Amino acid sequence: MSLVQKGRGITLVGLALLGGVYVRALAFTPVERLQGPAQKIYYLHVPAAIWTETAIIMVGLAGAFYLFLGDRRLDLFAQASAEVGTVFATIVLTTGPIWGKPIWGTWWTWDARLTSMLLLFFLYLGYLLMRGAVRDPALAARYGAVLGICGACLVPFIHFSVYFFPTLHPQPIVLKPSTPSLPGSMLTTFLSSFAVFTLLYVGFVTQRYAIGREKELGEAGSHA
Amino acid sequence: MAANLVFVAAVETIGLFLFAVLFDVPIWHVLGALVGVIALATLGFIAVGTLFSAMVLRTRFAELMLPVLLLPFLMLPLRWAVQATSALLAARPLSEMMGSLKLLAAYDIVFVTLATLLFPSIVEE
Amino acid sequence: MPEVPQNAAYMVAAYVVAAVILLLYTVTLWLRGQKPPRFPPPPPAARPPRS
Repeated sequence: MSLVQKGRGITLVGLALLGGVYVRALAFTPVERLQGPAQKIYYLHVPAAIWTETAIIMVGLAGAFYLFLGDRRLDLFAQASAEVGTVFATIVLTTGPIWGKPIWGTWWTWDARLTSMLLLFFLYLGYLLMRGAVRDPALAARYGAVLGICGACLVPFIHFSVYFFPTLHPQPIVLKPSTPSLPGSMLTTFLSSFAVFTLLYVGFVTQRYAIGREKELGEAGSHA
Repeated sequence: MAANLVFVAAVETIGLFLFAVLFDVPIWHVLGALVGVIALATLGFIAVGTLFSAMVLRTRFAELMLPVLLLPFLMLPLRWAVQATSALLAARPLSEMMGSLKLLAAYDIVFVTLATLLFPSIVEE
Repeated sequence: MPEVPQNAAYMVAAYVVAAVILLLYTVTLWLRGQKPPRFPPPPPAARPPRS
């Protein structure tokens, strides 16, 4: 089974399980009393946000190792993670306002966390644009590594900014220093969703990596 | 990078003076701290700006690419600097600014180090 | 006791949007991962004429 097929398989399993999460979240998880049904957007929004931030750190790590080791596969992985991260960022930036409108009364506010997620999205876009704008693949890989490392180092500032400024955005209730404060059934739904998003990340990145590899091998073959 | 720093510092000195005069903002009583905040923010800008400028030289649409790449990196220190400056000018107690100042300082340390370490990777052949 | 807000429409909208984004990306990757049909290799070059 080729790598593309393996990636597709993982993705399909992930999507099927996502359907299960949808059913569980929508029908079998209690409604939050203060926020109402809209709170359930949390089960998609937060795992996507976690993976958006993690994906850019992967891009940075892969880039750093690429600069040290020169292995092209690391660069291919970085590109794949960047593309998938962009998709997840899109999910965060669409589900977020849809959640915000009924709860806060506004689609958007320029507070620390929302602005930072938007900046992360621009970071991803910048990375993808820059890769496309450099002719030489080796140079593109190096520049990508540099940008990825800088982007990954920006993420802690983004993540912890929410602690420093008063914000409309809810404080973290799962990824925080003390134990998570979600009640049992909701915690299970959240963890299931997070596991599914992890699977989707792996499936998407595998496919994208394999596509990049095929392309590179194809180009190498035609020049040989 | 040092040359950029000097150039930008000169522009900012003039700008700050003009700002105080034209907008009738009393800055003299907090001048030391204000210059400190400005210096912190500028250092962060210059570190990232110089690194990315070198990168876009060999990129298509260089003039367009630079601001696109820089935007995420400049918005955060800008926000912190603005928060600190407005607290300073409104004579708020130091504790209100500490968050922003710490973040600015941390940002500078991280990105000046990164810029110094990564610059050779950009310019090597 | 305050009433639970009736905002299920937003919940549905968000779930649909997320699903659409993920499905669109899946389809995009699928199409990009399709191998282009391999053309038969060109016939061996004709021997150069004897001078």
